[in-house]
Amino acid sequence: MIRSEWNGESLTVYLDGEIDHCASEHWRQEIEAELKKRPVSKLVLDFSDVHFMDSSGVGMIIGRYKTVKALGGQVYAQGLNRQSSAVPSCGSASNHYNPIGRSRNV
Amino acid sequence: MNNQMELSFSAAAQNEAFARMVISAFLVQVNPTLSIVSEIRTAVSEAVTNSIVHAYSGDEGKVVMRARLDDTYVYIEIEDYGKGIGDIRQAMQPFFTTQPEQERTGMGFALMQSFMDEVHVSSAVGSGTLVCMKKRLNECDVIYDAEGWRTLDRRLI
Repeated sequence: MIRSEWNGESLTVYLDGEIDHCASEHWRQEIEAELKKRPVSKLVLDFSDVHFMDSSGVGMIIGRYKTVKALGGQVYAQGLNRQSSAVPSCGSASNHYNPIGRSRNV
Repeated sequence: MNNQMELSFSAAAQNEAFARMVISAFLVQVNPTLSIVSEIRTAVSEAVTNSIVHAYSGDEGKVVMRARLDDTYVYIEIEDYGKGIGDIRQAMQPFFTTQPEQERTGMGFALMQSFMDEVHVSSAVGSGTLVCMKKRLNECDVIYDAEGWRTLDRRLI
C-alpha cells in the first residue's frame, strides 16, 4: 500500500524509503494501479521521505513519466533532497533526465 | 591502518539493501562524511544490482563483496560467477542497456565511475565479472603553507 492523494486535479504519490531495484518493482506496480483508477493529467512525486535512490529508481521514475506523458499529462517532483537527487543530477545524466518539472516547494 | 572484510550472499534483490548496509557499517570506523558514504553506497548498489539483474538474470547465484581500508582509500570489489560481459566497453557506455524493456537506464557503470575515483571491470563470458573500485576517503583542500607552497590538507569533518 502506498500513500497517495487525489485532489480532483492532481495525484500526489509519497515515495519513501530506499528506491533501488528491489523496491522499484513494488512502486511501479502501485503507481500504475493508481494511474489506472482515473485519468491523471498531473502526477506529483514527493521525495521527502526517500533516503536513497539509485539508477533503478531513476528507471522507475522515467517509466511512470512515460506512462503519464503518453496520456498527455505532466509529472512533477517535489521534496527532492540530497539523497534522492544525487543520482538523477549526476554528471551528464541531468541532460537526459530532466523531463520532470520541479514543483515550487523543492 | 589496514582492515578488510569479505561477504558472500545470494543474488537476491533484497540483498542489494543488505550490501549497502554492510559497506556503510564497515566505513563507520574511518568516520567518513555523509556524502562519501552516500556515493559509495550508490556505487555498491549499482554493482550488486548488475550482478543480480544481468549476471544471473534472476537465477540463483552468489555475489561476493570485498572491501579494504587503508589510511587514505577504500577499495571495493564486487564479484559474481554469472554469465559475464562480452563487450565491457559497450556495457560501460552511459545509457547502454541490454534490458530497456525492464526500465533499466544503462546508468550503472556511469554512476560507479562518477561516484568512485577509479573503476575497473574484468569479465569472462560464462564465468563471471569482477568490478574493482577505489575511492579516497577524505576530501582534500588545497592550502598554502607559510612559504607559499601548495600542499594538500586532509579535511577533518
